[in-house]
Amino acid sequence: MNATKFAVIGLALASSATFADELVVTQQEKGGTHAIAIDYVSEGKAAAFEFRIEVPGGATAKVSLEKCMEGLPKSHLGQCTFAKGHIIGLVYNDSNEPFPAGVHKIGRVYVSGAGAGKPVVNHFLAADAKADKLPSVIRDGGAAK
Amino acid sequence: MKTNKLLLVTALGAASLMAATTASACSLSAWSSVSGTPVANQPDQSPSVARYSGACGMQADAIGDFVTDNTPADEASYRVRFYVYTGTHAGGTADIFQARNGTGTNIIRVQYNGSQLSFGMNGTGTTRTAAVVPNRWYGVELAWEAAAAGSLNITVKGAGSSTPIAVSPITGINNSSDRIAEARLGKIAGAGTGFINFDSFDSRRTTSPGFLCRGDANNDGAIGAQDRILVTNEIAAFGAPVATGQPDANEDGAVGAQDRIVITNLIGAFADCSDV
Repeated sequence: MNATKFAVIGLALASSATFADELVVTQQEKGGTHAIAIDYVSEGKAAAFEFRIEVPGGATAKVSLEKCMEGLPKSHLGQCTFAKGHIIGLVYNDSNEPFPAGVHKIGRVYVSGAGAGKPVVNHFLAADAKADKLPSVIRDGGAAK
Repeated sequence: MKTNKLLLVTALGAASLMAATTASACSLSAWSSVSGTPVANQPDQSPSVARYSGACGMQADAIGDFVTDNTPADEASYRVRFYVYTGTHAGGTADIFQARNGTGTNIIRVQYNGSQLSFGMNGTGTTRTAAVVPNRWYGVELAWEAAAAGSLNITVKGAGSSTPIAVSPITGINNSSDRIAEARLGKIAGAGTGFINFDSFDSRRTTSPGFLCRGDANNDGAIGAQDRILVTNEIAAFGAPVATGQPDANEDGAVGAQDRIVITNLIGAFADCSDV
């Protein structure tokens, strides 16, 4: 695992001007284990966001979620679960305070025993304090080396 | 030919829409008539009336408080769904739903006695029951057919559970001459004291309405982060109905932290509306 590489890719992607919240996902595969780094580029408006990562192999895959939310700012809480063949992430604040603007390393998940395919992020939604959906983009951060 | 008949899909929902523009616009005006003094109101108004969906619910305090829909036209097939909050009713059995023919005979009857809902149909003394608890919302869906082997299918689900309460249908009843010309909802007749609430009445000719999506606070047909945000906003609004969908995820008659937990858990389980 090359943590520095993950960070560099995430920051580089964030530097391109956007007007959407972005979930930047960077993957590395080694020895049959997929390491997935999850970064979040916040416009500073989202009270909560959610994402889902489809895992090849479905419910039979081995998934490690301990570090899924390790990088959250203190303002927000989060959880990751694995259900119906998906890793499901939810980040929220119990007063609907906005997530700080900027680039945030949310955490990492690890998937093994999932066959030849690589996990795919197929859902990302950020919403503001009125529960209105914000422009939300999934960005492939590429493969870390 | 379109055979579905949406009789009163927004009987209470219409009041909800009106409530979006003014704070006290809950109304029963979409019903054909109102008997007694049932109250349509929001949870944050006085008297406070818990709702299941939208902004408004209807509360019946006394026997004789009910609303009537006379749009059915001698129907031989009838589907209905409504939500009942069992409230504090006790001390007797009350009719809470009646589907009647043109001469006032009960064709379908639903009763509540404080601990169970009971279901009957004309042409047989057979009844079915579903055990329920006070102060919880339950969805009730009925599918009735007039035929040489007529039937009443009954589905009850509520109190925060995704599993319907097992209720056997009533089948094989020769009721081919029965017709439904009127529906009543409320504390229509019988005995007992305490309040019962009602919401989201929907009746049709052939297609069952189905249950609403529990926890879908913004009514977009999915359960996600936006629903959790709306519940948070409703908690902060001291019960003012911010959510336009079904925020009372644990179906206890109030929107609070427990609903947020239920919704969080549903998101974590990747639950969709068919799961709840």
